Amino acid sequence: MGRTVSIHSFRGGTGKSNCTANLAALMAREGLRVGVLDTDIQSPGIHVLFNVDVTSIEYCLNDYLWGRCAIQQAAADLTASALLPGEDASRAGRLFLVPSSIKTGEIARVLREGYDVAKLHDGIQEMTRDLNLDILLVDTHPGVNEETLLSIAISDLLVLIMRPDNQDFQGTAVTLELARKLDVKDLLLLLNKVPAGVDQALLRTQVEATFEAPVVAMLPLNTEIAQNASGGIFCLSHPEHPFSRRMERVCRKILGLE
Amino acid sequence: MSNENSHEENKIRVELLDSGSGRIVQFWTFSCSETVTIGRAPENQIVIQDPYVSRHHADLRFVLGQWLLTNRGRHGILFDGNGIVESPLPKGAATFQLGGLGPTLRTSYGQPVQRSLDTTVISAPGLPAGSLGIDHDRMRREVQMIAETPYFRELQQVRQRLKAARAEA
Repeated sequence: MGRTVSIHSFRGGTGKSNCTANLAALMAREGLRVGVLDTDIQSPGIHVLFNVDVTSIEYCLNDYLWGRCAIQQAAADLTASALLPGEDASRAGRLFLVPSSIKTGEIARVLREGYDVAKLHDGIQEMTRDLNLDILLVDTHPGVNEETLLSIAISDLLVLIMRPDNQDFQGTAVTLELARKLDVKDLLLLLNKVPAGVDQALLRTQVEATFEAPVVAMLPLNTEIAQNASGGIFCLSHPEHPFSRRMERVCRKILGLE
Repeated sequence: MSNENSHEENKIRVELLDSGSGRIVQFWTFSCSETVTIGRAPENQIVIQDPYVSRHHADLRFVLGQWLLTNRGRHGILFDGNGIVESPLPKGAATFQLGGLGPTLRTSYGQPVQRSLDTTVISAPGLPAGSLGIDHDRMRREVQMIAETPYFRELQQVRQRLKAARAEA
């Protein structure tokens, strides 16, 4: 049975989708069968990082939720995006993405009518089973709503991404407490966009003491990454960059390799 | 199960506080089966590099349902304003000082520490002063509002069913 990992942040702009996409590619390179599910139905975006033209693909998560297709039919095989140019595909595992629709009509319908959250639960289980996944990364909608709570409740591990910012900290504290009430015990904090010059060791200690959860990584505020934000998988195009090195560690921690 | 729970709740958390700001500089967690030694020497469980801390300054042991603090050093321990040789620590939070001029440690175990009166402020050099904080009261109110909804209760059951199914598989 594959593991489900939810990647959540309380507010937008934390770099959640970017981290998720990079982790997914790194995991596929470890030889795993990896799925990414974009449950940010109101504001989808992770497909951009994988250079997927959502308008050209037949089915999205929305179609599954409305009963128009099986979840497997909405999965795009992106294994090639986890490979370096000229690299042999047999080396990697597999990478699948189930995107959310970017059609305004589809987004409007979700906002207007809502959807059956139980159907999303089925979709997550079916995606893991039908694609024979080792790990499923769920890219959640920011904030706390029905689907983020569901994805937290069914997760083996929850990764909470935040910036060193007051609103992020307050919201993360709420999410963390809710996760604990749901009996989710494997929790990791990831501090992103940490300004240069911050005493990272001290900040880490204080954050771990306050949230009573481990900080898996502190990633710098970095213009190179920001400029790259919507143009591919940074860890693959810049494998020697400190950001990529730290993401590799996060990947190994999530996989329980260290 | 109750055994496991009592084991869990008797875990002690020890925090080293910054003498100026009172903020947590470092913290440790220990189970009640451990004897926790505190001192300057590297073989202690809690190592504090401070001239007012003895090589082996204090012990924490769990005896008959409570944690006992014992002085082992020549600078003594100040607890509630008094020098002590040995004293039980109350459940919840307690604070003591290693020597009259040494660092302050805060312990907590047995019951959740009510942090409702304060707001945790996190600050590290390089961040704007007092820029990060958590209002614990507000957090608890928001959590309670969500946790009391029928949907959340249903999710708690979903979680338990999933766990049971996994344990079987």
